[in-house]
Amino acid sequence: MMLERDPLTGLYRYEALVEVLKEKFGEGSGEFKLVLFCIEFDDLARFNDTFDIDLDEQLLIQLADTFRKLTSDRDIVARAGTYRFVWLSEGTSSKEEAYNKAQAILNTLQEPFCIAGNMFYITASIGISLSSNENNSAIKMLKSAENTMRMAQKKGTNHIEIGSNEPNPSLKTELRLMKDLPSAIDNGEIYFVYQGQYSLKEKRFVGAEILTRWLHPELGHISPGEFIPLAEKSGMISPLTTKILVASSCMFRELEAHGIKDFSLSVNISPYVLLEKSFCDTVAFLIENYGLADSQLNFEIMEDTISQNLENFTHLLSKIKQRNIGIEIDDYGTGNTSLNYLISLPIDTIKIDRSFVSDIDKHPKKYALLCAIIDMAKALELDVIIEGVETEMEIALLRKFENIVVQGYYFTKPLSESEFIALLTEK
Amino acid sequence: MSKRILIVDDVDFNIEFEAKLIRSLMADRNVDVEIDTADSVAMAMEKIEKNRPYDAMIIDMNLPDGTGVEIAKKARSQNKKTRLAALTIYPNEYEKERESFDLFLKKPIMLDSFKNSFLQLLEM
Repeated sequence: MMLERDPLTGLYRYEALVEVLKEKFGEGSGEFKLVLFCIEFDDLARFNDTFDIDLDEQLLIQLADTFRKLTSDRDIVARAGTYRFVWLSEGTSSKEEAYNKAQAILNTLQEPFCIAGNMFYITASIGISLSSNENNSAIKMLKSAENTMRMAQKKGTNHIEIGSNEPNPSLKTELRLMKDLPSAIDNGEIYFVYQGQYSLKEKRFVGAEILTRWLHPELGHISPGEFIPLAEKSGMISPLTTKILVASSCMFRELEAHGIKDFSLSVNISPYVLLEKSFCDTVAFLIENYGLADSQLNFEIMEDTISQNLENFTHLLSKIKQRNIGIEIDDYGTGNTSLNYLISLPIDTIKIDRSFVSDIDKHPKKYALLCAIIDMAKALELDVIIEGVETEMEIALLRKFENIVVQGYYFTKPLSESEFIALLTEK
Repeated sequence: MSKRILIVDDVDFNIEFEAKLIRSLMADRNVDVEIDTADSVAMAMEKIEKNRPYDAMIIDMNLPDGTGVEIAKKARSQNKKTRLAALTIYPNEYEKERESFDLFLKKPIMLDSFKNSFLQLLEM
């Protein structure tokens, strides 16, 4: 079999390794002694900004050389993603042996890499999957190695995890939810609620954020923190977002029918959706066919996604702004970003994260920081929404800032469409 | 040129979304389109029986009173030229019914793939 190579590193391509693995499992029903190591390096591109060259590529070339030195005749290493590699090793069946090998790989990688006279220290996570009676196909092994690597990543940098033969309970639930997600989007199990945004200046609700909820028929309420990442992973985030946007158009019509004007709706837009090639076409279609931009619609973008996508976002968000849709930065203050983006991106509003507000009455420094953020936003002519306002004490301190909007349980919890309209229309 | 399309689905959102997508797609190509809808197997059967043949049908496979397979068989028996698309979350479950349809569309609907598949269905 002619195995294809990755042009940058000269290692095998992922597809080639999959073929080899499939072939191994097809070679009979005997006991397979196979180990897969899924190795992912932490964001090598971060060096590029500092050195103004594609340093990550040079690092990958050196890493590939290191791998070649560590491999035996019975090993195959393939590039499986931008910074991900899969290493197939034959002849090992003990967990201890596999772990020691992973540790040896990690130790070698922790040595600094030298490029153009500079030393670079890199970090990685390794997931190990061993063949067994249950882990008995190429796809199972690859999935297991990948999932185990993700578990290692969650523990921090330079971690190693070994997959058990039984799928872990959280993984089982994840797979179940992933399977049920498409029908939940289609059949209304996933529905929308509205949390009001109250203007301290106008003394009325001036907008709402649309939030997504999933009531699973057997598992009960599934938190968005659980199912949104799965929707992103499975590609379902795109039809889900389309549905939210259509719902927002319908809500605008309802509000109008109840005589509610000068009211905005905010929809969370995942970076996965925003970076999809077809997203602007989808928005254009919804504008034309559902009057999406006839009212004050805002897209909320999470702050922590900005740094990785600044260049793309600048262009995309400008296009969206031209369509009469506002841009809000969600969870402001939590992202690992420079402040520069506040100038370069076409932003209308920052939504200050709840962590800056909770207990401000007890922490003078926290309050001072919040004051400084609001002053900065005002200087940049940005609107401010403060999230997570829950207590009388918090609101008492916030009243000093006349021209801000607050969102939180102090004013209202998220409500269904009819409850929310009732809240807005009550005398 | 003009096309007659029947959309069979019991979810209002899907009917409206598909109809708007098809209209926008046909308008881009200067093709007139007449869209008819049904929300059950019974209603679809009646429309196929009474109305003149449709150029294409998009049939949800999971309807309250049956599956889309019956509709496809009826449509085929009335007019062999009608192009038939099944709309389903789980295309693999209908592997045996592949022959009854010209293509399978996946739910929930993705704008891009729906457009491409629909054009393929109409052989445009």
